[in-house]
Amino acid sequence: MKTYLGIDVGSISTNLVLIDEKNQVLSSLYLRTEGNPIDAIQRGLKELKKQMPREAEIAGVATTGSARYLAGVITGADLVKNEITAHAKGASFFVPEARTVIEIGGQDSKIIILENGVAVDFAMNLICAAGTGSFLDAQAFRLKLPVEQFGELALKSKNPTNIGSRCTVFAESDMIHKQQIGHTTEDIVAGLCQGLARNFLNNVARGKNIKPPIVFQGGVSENLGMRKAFEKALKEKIIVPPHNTVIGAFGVALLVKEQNPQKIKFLGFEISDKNIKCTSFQCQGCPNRCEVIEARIENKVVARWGDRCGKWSNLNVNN
Amino acid sequence: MTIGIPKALIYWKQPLFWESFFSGLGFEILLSPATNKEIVDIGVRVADPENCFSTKVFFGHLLWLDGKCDWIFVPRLKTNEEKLEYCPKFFGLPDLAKLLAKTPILTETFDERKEKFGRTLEKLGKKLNKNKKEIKNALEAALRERKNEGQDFFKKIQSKKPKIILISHPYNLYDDYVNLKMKEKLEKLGIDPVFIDEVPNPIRQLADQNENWPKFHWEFGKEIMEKTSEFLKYDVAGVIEISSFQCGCDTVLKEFVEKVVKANRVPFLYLLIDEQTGEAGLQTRLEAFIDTLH
Repeated sequence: MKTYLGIDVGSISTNLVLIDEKNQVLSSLYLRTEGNPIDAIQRGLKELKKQMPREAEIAGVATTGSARYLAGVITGADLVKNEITAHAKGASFFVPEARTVIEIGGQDSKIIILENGVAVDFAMNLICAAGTGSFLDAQAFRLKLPVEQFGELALKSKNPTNIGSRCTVFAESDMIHKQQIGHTTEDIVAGLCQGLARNFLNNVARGKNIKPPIVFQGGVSENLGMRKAFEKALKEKIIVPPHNTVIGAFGVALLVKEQNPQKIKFLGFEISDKNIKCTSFQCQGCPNRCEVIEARIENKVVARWGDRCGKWSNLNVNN
Repeated sequence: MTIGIPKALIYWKQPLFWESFFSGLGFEILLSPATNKEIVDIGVRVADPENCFSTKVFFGHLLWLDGKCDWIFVPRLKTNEEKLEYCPKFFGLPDLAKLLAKTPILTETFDERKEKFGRTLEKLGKKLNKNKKEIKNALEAALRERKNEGQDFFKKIQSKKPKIILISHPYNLYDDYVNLKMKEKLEKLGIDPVFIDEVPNPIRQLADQNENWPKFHWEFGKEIMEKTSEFLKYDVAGVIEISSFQCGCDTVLKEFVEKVVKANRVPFLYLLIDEQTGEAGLQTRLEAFIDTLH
């Protein structure tokens, strides 16, 4: 049985999705990247190997997410695709008539405008992570709440309080102030969700023509409080598609399946047991002092990147 | 005597002009090198954080020259020949330069609302003990160095590859460190990039009648809007506008560029650059943008 593997390596989570030729999801994994993308990919492959049907053979691998190049090198991907295209693909598979996709991940948040299932416009958060999963993580930690319970608690609020969500640092001072004057935790949590939704709509989505159907995906779409906050702010129904937390990996698996690679580059599940390492050095060639990264599998250099001029990344690494 | 010229900001408004003008007057010229990390770091360290990224880069170039020449040339550009204003940050540059650098700053105020360009040059020449005749000769020689606009445009616009127009100020477009090699990145993705200043100027009378944007008092506002309406007549796959973080003028201008471009159903991408801009984030946006072109 031919199967296609999509791997989405982001700042917070690493997701793997295996689909068959009928686009059915055979396995899906959501792992915490925990600052070590290589280890997360290796763990993911090991786990996937256990889960996947015996007769399944990998007919194509694609990577996406902020670590897509690294992931592509160490797995031998047939396709390396940016996360915006991957998310648009995943969303329009489940909701073909979707016009707007809101995706909020660990450190990125994006809005994608679709026409006939294709992305025609998009925006990503520019210089601030205030509207992302990391923001919620940080606030949950401060309130000593597991982030998973955050959303349900928010739903209990009858009177969400107004919290400045422009910046995580100032949100904390605002939150402490609200606690001191006697607001309940659920009102503060609901206020944070509304603030985050507002921040997203005012900054990331500013100037975009948000039309229904609206799809909400990415890790933060698990949060019921966030779903409600968007529904309230946009006065529209919010659709959360199946596989919402791993939909980037799903989208990229669909893309590689459509590409139908003839010669498969996949390096095999054995790579989860291999010694894969990245090291870096500072190039002394010019005042830019670029940090060059070297990826090695079993001590053999397989790729280099990070240099502005291309002198290292263009080197034939097989030599 | 050596005159230092910072290769940043206003330099890119008229590359080659000032160095050929001063060398025509018999001075040695020292240009600061292409922007690099060291220069950016120096600029970021001395500049007030409220400055735009391009101004920070300028201060880096200024201080690179400091102590290496007899004068550093920092003109005060106020208005151009059409009596349109330059960016307000340019007005104060020579004053800030005097605060930062130990080397004397050579400056003169170019305000063509009040005084012809040639007359201001004469005043500048006087500071250098040069007479009117010498100034006139150096000016004529320098004007010949000015590049001709529009020559390459018609060749480029006929290319079979998808064409993307890059809109920004020349100090962002022509500084490869600042724009993170945007041109090269786009070429690798199979795109033919065309810089906004390569677009020929439309016929003035037609441009004056346009109601899609206000009468800008900034020289670049008028130029960018006129050229935008011009290139939209051709087969253009997309438009990318690049802005230095905290550029106040761009936040106004961008609204009109985006409106006009989108009204023509041409995909538009807005990118902000500063000293923190990572290659990875930029690459993701460019790749995704190219996927949206059809």
